Amino acid sequence: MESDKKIVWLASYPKSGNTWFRAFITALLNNGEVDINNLATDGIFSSRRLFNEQTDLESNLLYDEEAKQMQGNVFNHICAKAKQRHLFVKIHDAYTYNSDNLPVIPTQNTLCAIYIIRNPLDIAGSLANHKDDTLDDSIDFMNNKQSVFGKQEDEVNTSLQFRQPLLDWSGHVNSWTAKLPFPVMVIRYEDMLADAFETFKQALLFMGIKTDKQQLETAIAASSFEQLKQKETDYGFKERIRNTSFFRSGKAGNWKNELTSQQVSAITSQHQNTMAKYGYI
Amino acid sequence: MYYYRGFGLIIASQIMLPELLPYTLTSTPDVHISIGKTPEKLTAAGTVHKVGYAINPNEYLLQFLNVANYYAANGNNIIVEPLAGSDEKSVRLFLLTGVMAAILHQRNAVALNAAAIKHLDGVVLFCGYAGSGKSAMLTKFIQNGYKPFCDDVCLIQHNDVKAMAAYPTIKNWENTFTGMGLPIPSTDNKIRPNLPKYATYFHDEFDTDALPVKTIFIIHKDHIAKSVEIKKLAGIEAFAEVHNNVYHRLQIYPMKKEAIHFQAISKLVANINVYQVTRSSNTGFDELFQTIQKHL
Repeated sequence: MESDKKIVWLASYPKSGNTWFRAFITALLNNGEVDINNLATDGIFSSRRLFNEQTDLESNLLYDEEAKQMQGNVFNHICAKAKQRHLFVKIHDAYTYNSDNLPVIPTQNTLCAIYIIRNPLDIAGSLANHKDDTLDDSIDFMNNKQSVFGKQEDEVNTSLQFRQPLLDWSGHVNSWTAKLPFPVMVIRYEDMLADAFETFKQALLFMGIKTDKQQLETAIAASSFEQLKQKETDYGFKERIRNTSFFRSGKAGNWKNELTSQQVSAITSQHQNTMAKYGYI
Repeated sequence: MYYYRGFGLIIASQIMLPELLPYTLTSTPDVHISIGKTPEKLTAAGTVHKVGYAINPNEYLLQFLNVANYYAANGNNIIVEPLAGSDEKSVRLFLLTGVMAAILHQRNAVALNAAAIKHLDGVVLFCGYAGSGKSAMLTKFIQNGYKPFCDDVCLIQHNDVKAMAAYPTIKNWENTFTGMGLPIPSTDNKIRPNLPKYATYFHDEFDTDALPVKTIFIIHKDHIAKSVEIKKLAGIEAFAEVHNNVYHRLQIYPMKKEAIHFQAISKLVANINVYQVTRSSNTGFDELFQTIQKHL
């Protein structure tokens, strides 16, 4: 039944504007109030806590492949019990398949996905800051087709999140923009910056959420980059994984101040087709 | 048939359970574990169906992928149905975690997810979510001369402020051993064949008596913490933190065991010290140990 489809995947490669989008949704649902440490969206796909609650298993005792076989059912179950019209679930995993050749991400209860894309040249600096890595390490990570977010050394499972396969940057984008069994809207981070009103308005229309101009403007103002950065300064941000600021510059085109020509080349040479498709070169 | 003491119970099992303490049978077993066919589903009124498991006040059914199906009923009966290709260690692991938790809850036991050391005439408990460092702290205290009491599960007595150990096995990740300069145990000690987590045993030191609880430390890991912070908790805050660490806590709601836990944990926290210890991801075991030791 169409009404059973509630999950809206808020999907992106890391450091591409996902938190901003979730803050916007939060502001919209909360009449302009945003607590960055308690966003009103419905968790992250890779959450071990949500998994443990639905399965009664201690997920750190599972092999990753076992978890990948069950994560979809966990979210189908959460969706079946949910009272609200939409479940907004953050996800950084690429759209991949488990050992049974089934999508890791559940399709049965998925309404649609918003895929937020950002210029990989800008992601490099932001990711380096987030992971407390060098720019070269971040670029290597973005170029590695085996990259995994949340992977621990020696396959230890003490992280609060499951491993999230990312592929390389192009692989991630292409996995979510291939023909999937549910509608996907691609939003460019740079368009969120350049024309927030129109971009968020189109996203809401796509998700089937009705709002008026005043609500939209209030939500956009409450979730602006400056507001979020100030809240991180004042209250901290639990999604930060290192003692570096999560909200850094937020600008488009900052790569021109950060990357050497060799670093630019390392990214553009590997991701040329996908970057061209989305207007980044 | 094998006989054991474990979880405060006498257990008769068709499955060998080296994690538990062997027992020479002198009294009727409390729990029987047999190998057999489990029900396909639970149909009793009040059954809650979740992902891979179902539960009602008297029954629990776990169907875990290609490892095994488990059925626990009436606080005294477990049926294990190993599935084709599964390994013994994996079958035992999930038997001794969620399935035994269901048996304990069915028997009105109050169990905490805790590691514990002996201290003076009692015990000190370390609680916290998976990965917070409970077992690592237990190991660090042992390294510094303390005696182990339990790892993973600690049973709280209803009528006095005492705890009973579940079984004499400690489970640690490989990086805990390397981080403490301890030798990594043999591959035979892995708790699952492909998981870098190892069991170590203290059967000879295992204490089957209930001992007074002195202090509970609730360990939190916080990315944005700059150092180890410790805070004494009282009242509802202490209650909530300890209650959050009930072993397989979400089982108690469909089993309707809230009142039992409310009473036991209220009494417990009213009579002991409860501390919240917050550490960063980079906090070393030594720093955490020293902070906790000062507050024993």
